[in-house]
Amino acid sequence: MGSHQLDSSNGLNSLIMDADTLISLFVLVVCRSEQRHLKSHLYYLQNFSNNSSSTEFGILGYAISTLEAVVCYFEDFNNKISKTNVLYEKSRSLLDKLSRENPTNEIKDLATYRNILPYRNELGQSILSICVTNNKNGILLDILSKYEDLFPMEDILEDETIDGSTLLMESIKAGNIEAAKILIRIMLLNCTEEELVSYINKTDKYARTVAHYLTHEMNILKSIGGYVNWKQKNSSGQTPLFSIFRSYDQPQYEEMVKVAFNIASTWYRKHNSSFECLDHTDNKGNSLLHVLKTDVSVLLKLSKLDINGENYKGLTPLMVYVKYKRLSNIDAITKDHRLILEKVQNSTFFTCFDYARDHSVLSRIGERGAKDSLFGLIYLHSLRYHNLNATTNITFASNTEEPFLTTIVNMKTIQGLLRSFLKDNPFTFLPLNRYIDEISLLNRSDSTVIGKADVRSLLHKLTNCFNVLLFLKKVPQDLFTDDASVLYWMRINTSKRNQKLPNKDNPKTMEPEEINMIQSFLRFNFDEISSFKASLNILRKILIFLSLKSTDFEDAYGSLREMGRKVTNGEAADAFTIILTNHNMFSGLSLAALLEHVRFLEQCTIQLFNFVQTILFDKIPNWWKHYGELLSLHKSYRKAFPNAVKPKNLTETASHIPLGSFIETKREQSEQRLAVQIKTSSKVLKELGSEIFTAHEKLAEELSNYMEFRKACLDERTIVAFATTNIGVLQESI
Amino acid sequence: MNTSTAAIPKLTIKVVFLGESAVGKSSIVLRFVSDDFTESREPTIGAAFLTKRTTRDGNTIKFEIWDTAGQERFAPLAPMYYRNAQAAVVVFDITNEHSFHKAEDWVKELHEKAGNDIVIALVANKMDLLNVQGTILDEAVNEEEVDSFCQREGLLYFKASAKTGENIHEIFQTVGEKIPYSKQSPRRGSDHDLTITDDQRIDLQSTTVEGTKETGGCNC
Repeated sequence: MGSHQLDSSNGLNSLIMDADTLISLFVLVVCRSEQRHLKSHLYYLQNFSNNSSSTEFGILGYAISTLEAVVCYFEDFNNKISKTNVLYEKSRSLLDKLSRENPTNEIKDLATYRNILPYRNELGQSILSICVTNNKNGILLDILSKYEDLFPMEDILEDETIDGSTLLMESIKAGNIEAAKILIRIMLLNCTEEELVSYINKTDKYARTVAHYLTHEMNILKSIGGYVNWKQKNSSGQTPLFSIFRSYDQPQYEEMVKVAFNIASTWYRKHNSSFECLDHTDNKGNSLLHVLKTDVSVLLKLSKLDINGENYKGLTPLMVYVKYKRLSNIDAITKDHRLILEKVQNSTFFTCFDYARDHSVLSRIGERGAKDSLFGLIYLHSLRYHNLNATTNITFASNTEEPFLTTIVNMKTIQGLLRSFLKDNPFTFLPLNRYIDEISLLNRSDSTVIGKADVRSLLHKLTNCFNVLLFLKKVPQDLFTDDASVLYWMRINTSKRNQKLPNKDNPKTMEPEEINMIQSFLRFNFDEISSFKASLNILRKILIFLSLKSTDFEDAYGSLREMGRKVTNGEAADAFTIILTNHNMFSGLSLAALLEHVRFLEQCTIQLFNFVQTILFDKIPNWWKHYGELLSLHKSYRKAFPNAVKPKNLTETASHIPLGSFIETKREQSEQRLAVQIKTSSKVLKELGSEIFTAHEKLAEELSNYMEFRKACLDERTIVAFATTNIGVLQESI
Repeated sequence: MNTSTAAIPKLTIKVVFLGESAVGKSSIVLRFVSDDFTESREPTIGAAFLTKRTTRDGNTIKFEIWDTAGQERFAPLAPMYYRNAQAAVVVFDITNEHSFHKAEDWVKELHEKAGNDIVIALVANKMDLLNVQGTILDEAVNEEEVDSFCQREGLLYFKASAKTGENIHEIFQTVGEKIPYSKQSPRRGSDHDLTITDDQRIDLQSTTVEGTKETGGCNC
């Protein structure tokens, strides 16, 4: 009426009160005034007026009529309630027939209930919905076919309970698959695609769509999957796919996962995009990877995938798999190059190894660790305490039918092994002494983050160390098959050492030329090693301070910009935004890994450096000193006893002289003294010489080993590992 | 204004307006009354109850126009209003077919409950909407159907527009002419014939003393 009325009513527009408004207002006023005996008053007004025409005509008549109308309205209202009671009884009987306990699946006198078919119960379920939930599919079909006028397609599409569940959701929730099929068939026949899409993606109060309930119904999923909005998240942030992946109680879980994933991928393609795993991360940060129980390889094919993503507890997918022992997933994910194996859980400093409880899991993740280690040969992980003994798991490359074997070895055995090795190779460049000490310092009660970090770093050092040893073939490949084999190898070594010992007593006389040669060789190496050491040192320091410094720099930069803004308040200050540090280019995790490698290399270098230094600046000058002494002794001897060419001959001749004067005796004594001095001097010289010689021999060997190791280490592993980890971490932050 | 109309009306006609809500009942009433609206402004009642005087054959006739609530939930209350009415105007919206069917129901109800003496006029309102920009649109309500219905039920039929004022006065004019002078008294006086007119006069005089002579009309 709106404009129509306003136009025609000129100045009165704001005052128009038509009968609709008047009666509504009057009803309200009478109701609020709580006037008693209203009917009596009305009767009195109508019948006892001294001028009865005034109650029938004119404005008074209109007023009284309106009052009467209001009274009638209340009466009518009461009648309605009593009518409702009748309706209620009828509904009751219909509901009884529809109840779950009632076995009938057919209502003969359906027509008598026609006027109560639009009924809804207190949960907002319509008659259809009640049929669906109570498995009355016969009645459902009956109603749908006979009363299309009462339940037109639009109403069926709009039919929701108070929770917002559509009929389809109700049927699936109630496990009434037949009803779901009936509904889907009807809808596929009668609805446009647009209607279907909007119907299927209707959400209930938990923001779930039908697809969230479809975790067990593969056939239904197949029929309507294309209409589902796979990105729709429910109130806990789970997409339908996520729910399906999480329904572990589904008997055909694997097939269901595959089907659902395929449907979802097709859906993405249809919407001109590729499957995006990030769409499916729930509110707790669990990605599809976290929840998937098997067949993770399906997901791993995706290029955009946060394979190391943490959930809100800081667990990566791998940790979850390890924790719940999803072996096939562990197999698949450890083969993926993007995986960062030793990612640390933030709060507890646990890695996936801490969640592993049995051998099968440990051997799988250990294998990946071994492959990633310095030379891909061996990996020590999962230090555990049994009573007072600490044991560690060792995964190593084996030449048996299994490419990698995992065993548990006592830390004491490892310590012994290191000691025995050190005895055989005193000049080894590996800082074994330090490791031996660290093993003894292991403290089981230290469960702080620092303690865990210590253990972790020790295991890494040992991993590096054994990698080098295996790489240089210093120890046999199958050494770590079990504790016993290690002990056996140590026993054999000891006995070999004992056999060797006598042979060692065969000092070799060193000539100055040889010493010179050794000296120059060592000096060359010394220079080289010390320069390398210096650069490693610098690298290490840079790594430690990189993030700190870049944060500093960024902060300074930010404040500079702020100041610039305050001063110039213009674009000039914004020029500072263009420069960005590479702070974010390197993640903490990969920096730490690189630092560990650099540190290891540096320690090795220092060890070697010290050996070379001792020989070069201690042993060799010492030798020269003794050599000088010997020469001077020879000289003085020759001066004193020019007739004697050699002290040995001289003693012989001296002893053959039958007559000895006092001088002779004195001479003899001094001669003997000199000879003894010469003898000791030459003996010391010889010992030193042989020491230098063997040390040089060993060192030369070690140097060549070291060079080999260093080259391999730098070329292949450190950089590659750093880059890989960094890429992994960065990918994650994208 | 006119002294003749200001005189005591020879005939007072009670007209009830019926029809679905939003068909424009009040608009028609207001349009009819608004020409000399200054005479009987009653802002508190607004459009629900209005009076209007016209002349017929030199005699003053007064229309008492009773609006009724059009909403469905108030439908059972209509009898309170059309009781004792000499005329009923049933309004429907020419662009809304449902409002016509509702009007049919009203007419039937009037015949059943208000007796056959009542004059019923059927009004198709909002005719202006059919002439948007000179082109005549198809009306939603079938013309022939309306015609046959009027024939059958013996109704007066008007096509009107409250907006343009088309046919509004004709409705009342025709309705007024249909009501005989003689018919008023017996109908009214079914209970007390003489007293009513007397009372009415007394009522009128009492108010006219205070203000203008015409104001007496509003009190009737």
